[in-house]
Amino acid sequence: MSAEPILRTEGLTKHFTLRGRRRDGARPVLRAVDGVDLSLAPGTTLGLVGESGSGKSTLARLVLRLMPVTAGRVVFDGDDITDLSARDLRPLRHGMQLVFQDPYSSFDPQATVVDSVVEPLRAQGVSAAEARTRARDLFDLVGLAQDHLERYPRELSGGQLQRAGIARALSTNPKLVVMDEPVSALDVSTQAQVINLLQDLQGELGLSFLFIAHDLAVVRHVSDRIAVMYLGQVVEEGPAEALYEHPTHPYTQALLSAIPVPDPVVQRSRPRIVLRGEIPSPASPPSGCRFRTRCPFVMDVCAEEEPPVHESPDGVRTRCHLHVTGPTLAGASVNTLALPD
Amino acid sequence: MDELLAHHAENIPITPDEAVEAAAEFAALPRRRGAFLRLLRRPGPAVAFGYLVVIALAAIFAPVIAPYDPNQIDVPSRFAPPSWDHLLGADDLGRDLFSRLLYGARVSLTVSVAVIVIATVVALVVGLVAGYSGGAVDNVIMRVADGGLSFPPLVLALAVAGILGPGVVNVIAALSIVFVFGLTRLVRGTALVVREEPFVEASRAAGSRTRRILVHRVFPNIRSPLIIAATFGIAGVLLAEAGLSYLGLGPRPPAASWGNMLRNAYDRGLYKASWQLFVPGLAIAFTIYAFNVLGDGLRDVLGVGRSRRAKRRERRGMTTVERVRTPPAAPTSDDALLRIEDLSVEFVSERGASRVVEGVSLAIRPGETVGLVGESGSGKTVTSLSVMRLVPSPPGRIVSGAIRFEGRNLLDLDFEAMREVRGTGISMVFQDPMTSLDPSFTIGSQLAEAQRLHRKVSRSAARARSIELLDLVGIPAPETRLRQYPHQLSGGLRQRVVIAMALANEPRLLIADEPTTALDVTVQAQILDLLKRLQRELGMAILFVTHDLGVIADLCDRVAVMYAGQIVEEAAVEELFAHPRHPYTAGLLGAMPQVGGAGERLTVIPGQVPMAHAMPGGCRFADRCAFVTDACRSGRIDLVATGAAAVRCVRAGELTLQGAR
Amino acid sequence: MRLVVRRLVAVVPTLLIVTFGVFLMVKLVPGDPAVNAAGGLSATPEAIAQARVDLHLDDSFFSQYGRWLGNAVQGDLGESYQSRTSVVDDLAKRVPVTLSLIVAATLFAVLLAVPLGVLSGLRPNGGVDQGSRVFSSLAIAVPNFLLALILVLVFAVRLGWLPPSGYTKFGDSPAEWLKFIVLPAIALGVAVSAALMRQLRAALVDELDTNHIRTAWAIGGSRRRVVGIHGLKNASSPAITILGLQVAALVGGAVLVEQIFAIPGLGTYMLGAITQADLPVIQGCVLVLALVQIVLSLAVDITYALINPKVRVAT
Ligand SMILES: Nc1ncnc2c1ncn2[C@@H]1O[C@H](COP(=O)(O)OP(=O)(O)O)[C@@H](O)[C@H]1O
Ligand SMILES: Nc1ncnc2c1ncn2[C@@H]1O[C@H](COP(=O)(O)OP(=O)(O)O)[C@@H](O)[C@H]1O
Ligand code: SF4
Ligand code: SF4
Ligand SMILES: [Mg+2]
Ligand SMILES: [Mg+2]
Repeated sequence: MSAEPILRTEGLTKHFTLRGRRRDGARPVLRAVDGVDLSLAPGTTLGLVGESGSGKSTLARLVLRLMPVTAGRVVFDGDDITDLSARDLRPLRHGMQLVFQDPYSSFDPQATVVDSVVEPLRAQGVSAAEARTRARDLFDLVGLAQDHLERYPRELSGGQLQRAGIARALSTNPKLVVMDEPVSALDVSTQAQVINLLQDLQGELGLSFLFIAHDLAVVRHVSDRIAVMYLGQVVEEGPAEALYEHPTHPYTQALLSAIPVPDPVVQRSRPRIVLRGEIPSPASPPSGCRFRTRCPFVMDVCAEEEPPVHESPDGVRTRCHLHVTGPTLAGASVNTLALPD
Repeated sequence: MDELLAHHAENIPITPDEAVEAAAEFAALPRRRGAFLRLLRRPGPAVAFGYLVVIALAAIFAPVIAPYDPNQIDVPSRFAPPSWDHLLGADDLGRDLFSRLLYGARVSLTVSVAVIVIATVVALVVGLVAGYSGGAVDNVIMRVADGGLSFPPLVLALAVAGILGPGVVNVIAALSIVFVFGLTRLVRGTALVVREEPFVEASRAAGSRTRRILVHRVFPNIRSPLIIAATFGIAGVLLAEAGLSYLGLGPRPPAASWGNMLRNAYDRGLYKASWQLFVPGLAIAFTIYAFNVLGDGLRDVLGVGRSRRAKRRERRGMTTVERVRTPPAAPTSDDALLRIEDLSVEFVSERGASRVVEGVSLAIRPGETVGLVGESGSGKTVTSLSVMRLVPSPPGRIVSGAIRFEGRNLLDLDFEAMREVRGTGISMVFQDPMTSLDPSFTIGSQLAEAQRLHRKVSRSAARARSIELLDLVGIPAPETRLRQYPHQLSGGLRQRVVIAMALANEPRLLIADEPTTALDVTVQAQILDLLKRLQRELGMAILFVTHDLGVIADLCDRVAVMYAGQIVEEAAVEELFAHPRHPYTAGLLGAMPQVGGAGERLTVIPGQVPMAHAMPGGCRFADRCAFVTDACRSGRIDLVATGAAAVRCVRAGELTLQGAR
Repeated sequence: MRLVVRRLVAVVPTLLIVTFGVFLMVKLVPGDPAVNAAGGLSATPEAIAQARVDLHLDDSFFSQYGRWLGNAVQGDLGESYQSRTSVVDDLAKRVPVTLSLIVAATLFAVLLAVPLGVLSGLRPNGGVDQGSRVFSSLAIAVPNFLLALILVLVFAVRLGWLPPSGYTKFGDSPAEWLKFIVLPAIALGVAVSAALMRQLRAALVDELDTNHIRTAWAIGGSRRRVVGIHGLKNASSPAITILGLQVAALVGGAVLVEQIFAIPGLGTYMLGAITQADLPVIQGCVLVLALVQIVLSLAVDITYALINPKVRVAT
């Protein structure tokens, strides 16, 4: 972990101002991302999980600076890119690329696949002929036949088009690839094909991935470290293994227990935590700990104070009062607590 | 969600200069020519186009074709009927109507084309600036356009033309002003939608310049709607021009235009030669009609909006049954609540019938939970809808089999008898909770309806039962919920309401088609727990359809695996996970990433599901199977039952496959 | 109620722009209004100078607009150059006439479109549908003024059933009014009814393919309930939207139709003013016709909001 991270965020924040007025006359503000600190070491994968609406996609767009930052900093490969203009970002774009969730909507329906795939190269000033040669190599790399180059997006299957999306992201030899739910729209068998492809590519090319998904099993499979988001905040972050074996935040624990394991014997014998209610609106998040409306372990202090970040010796950072007050877990797994009922 | 319209993308303002340059650059791009040819292959648009070409040629060559000077007065021919001398007759001054019609066409077409060109170009530039820049610029432009659209178009045109005075140029000016507002709004609206599309974001992430994004991404996607609007727009201009010149605001007399010919025929000839009305009248009507036909055709060909030609037919809420083979005989004794036998379903389209469900058999005993699992497109939904006779007909139809529920074959029932089964014997919960409830009615009225459809209940009894039902599915404060509309509820709550509706009449079988797929995992866990509890308490059988083997493991007693329209394996749940016997089942298990097993490489099923119209003859999985032999491809492979399990694989006996890890 | 207020407030900027547009239109006219006001070409230079002062023509553009708007709000739109009568008084006499024509045309359109649209939507490609498709294609291709001429020719000139032109106030004799209004209302309403019918049919066809209709079948809904209650109620929203868009065509078309049938409404008044270059009258007519359109659209908009729970009930 001593190497300079390829991507680092400090207190990264994005507030959307909504239309209309609140009772007090102020414009309502939606806190999509609220003070996120992350760090991604070169050649590794940081997984980002959380329910829909927790701010994952917004975070992805912030670190790529596809939208203005409200507060905090984004440092990419040593450069602070927080306040760069669209123009000044352009020369840096080849180093950071994005893969989208829905392959169909992320390709221009009016353009051939190759036209979209070479776009990052063309934006860097590469000639059309050269870009085309490179596209052929890229198609080989991601396992697509050459005759797919001239097709239109609708003529490819979801899995094929997602491979093309990966080819587009890799075209400029980026250092960082942000993937916003790259396999969520795919069927199990195609999903497995794409996951394996991504792992191979990372090995061959030394890429760094920020990998977003709502499926913890997928994230666990590909990630070195994992960050769990809830209502715009990272509530737990740490090495994948530790986080799964010893979740320190009640939300992580609940997420893990909510994923059904495809083995009836295991699935039916393991303890289950079913959270009550649904994720509140980020336009009016609960006071104190944002998870408190659904937390099985909620204490009085949780409504009053934002929990501090607790960092354990094995590098797990967690935002929960349990580690400093109440049962005082001090970094131990929540699994050691008996569930109150 | 209307409130969330705040702009997602960073606003990159563009100047009008840039927009004009971009427009020019775009105009120079090579274009796909296919659409136009496809348009002309349709009879209606082809005839319309031909007619318009003839009119345009006639207008251009009017001086050559016209037998007379259009303004030549010839009193003896006054009101002459059509003859070889005067093809279309002559007017009150003996002027030749055919010649006047030709010269009138020049005016109408010049004005229409000029106005549409001017209005489209202006709208494109202004609309793009507004739509792509957003913010204050957009606000001002749109306010002005709204203001402009608040004038009735004809009134505005009249006022402008009236103030400027008669004359072709003035008419063009007046109508351009009128038409520019609507087109601007269209361009801006489309640009707003397009710029929020992920593919535009992809271009920005690629580092493309704004200009390039406009030219290569935004324009091409605005082009089709704009071409269509312009085509309909020409018809509108033509109509307005005829109206203006009817009122004397067109070209100065004696110059001919279709509108003033009409006026002349009405004022002078109404009692003496009323047929004269039809000379310019039909010309106007035909031309407007031709542009409308062309517009409709373009809409179909370019695939924008709804196609008028879509061959939709009546929706009667009942799947047709047209058997191609005799249904299997009813078993003498049956312990099954539901027994699907040899079910096949087809969808008929212009390209022929595609059989998406083929010979499916499945039995569910009372109180049992059976899972139906498979990847998307494998036919799970069609199978479960068939049980309810809810596959839309046309295009769907059931072509073989029997579906016996409590001994009765549902495929033999008429609508009324089937209606009695729906909701009371069998209920169904669908995948998308957001759209499964009627947005125009309260939760309370929909719950009450579910009860009243099947028995007489008083208002208060229905209400009491509704509250009980909401309580049963774990919705807090049921009384308040009854008064709310679906859009006021979250997805999880809506799905609970749908489940409550399904339970209203205590069905013996509940079919749940991916009821949790659209929900978050934590909410999915809640709904799964709810279903488990309901089954314990109410003792109904459940057919649970899903693509997620984890959910099956959680919930089901027995599982059937579907692939490409067929059931390939069926077994008790522990058995299937521990010892899968079909290579596809094993493949699915291996392809699932698992929380427990990180780092390992996933086993992959290579290739893709075959298309319904190109199914392999033998085993449908053969092209993707690691164990394929010649025997697999040489003829139909049946689902072979051994005890409680069944498998559709010629090598099932010899293979030992890896189960859940 | 809050909703109605909100819609009303939203109209204010539109009104400002519309009045500004009307004002601007006249300002851009070539020629000197002072000359007209002072009595035309024979006016003396002194009289013209005096008129400039009276008309505040030397004030800044915006203060002229402000004054004009202030007067307009107080019901003063100036005098007709021709008749020297107050424009507002003349307009007041004519607005009810035009409104009665528009209302009659709308009624005709709705009464024709709703049954045909619903029947076509229920049986796409059935007999009624085929028939109404032919009708609506014709209706859209034949401009309302042409239709008006044909109606006059057939029903007034040839058959002599109805008068070819003229008008009686509804208040004076409803029966007479009806006689005079039938042909104009049909001429004006046919195209609107065609658009409405197409929309209603399409909305119903789409509606019957939605998920919630499937739910309605699945709970055992009868055809009458599923199609007649759930289907129709949801299909009515888009139809109302279309009616709102057609208001513009109605108001504009009324001008032409009034002219043909010699109905003494805003349209004939305006056309008369145009031939005489009577600017204050043109200005007044355009303003009032735009207001009529705004008010009618607003009424449709509010109706739409009231029947649509997503708009009416906040989340
Ligand atoms: N452009 C936007 N304007 C307003 N709110 C937004 C915008 N984009 C996202 N949001 C809101 O921000 C929150 C986080 O959204 P998102 O980042 O998409 O979450 P996730 O990807 O985790 O599902 C959501 O409540 C969403 O509605
Ligand atoms: N209304 C329809 N018209 C035409 N084809 C359909 C229709 N509904 C489903 N299909 C086709 O039937 C096949 C099976 O679909 P479905 O049963 O929905 O699959 P699953 O539920 O397993 O994802 C698919 O190929 C789909 O394209
Ligand atoms: S801070 Fe309190 S409410 Fe939040 S997660 Fe920890 S125990 Fe639960
Ligand atoms: S029949 Fe042959 S191809 Fe098909 S699944 Fe069995 S082994 Fe594979
Ligand atoms: Mg997202
Ligand atoms: Mg399905």
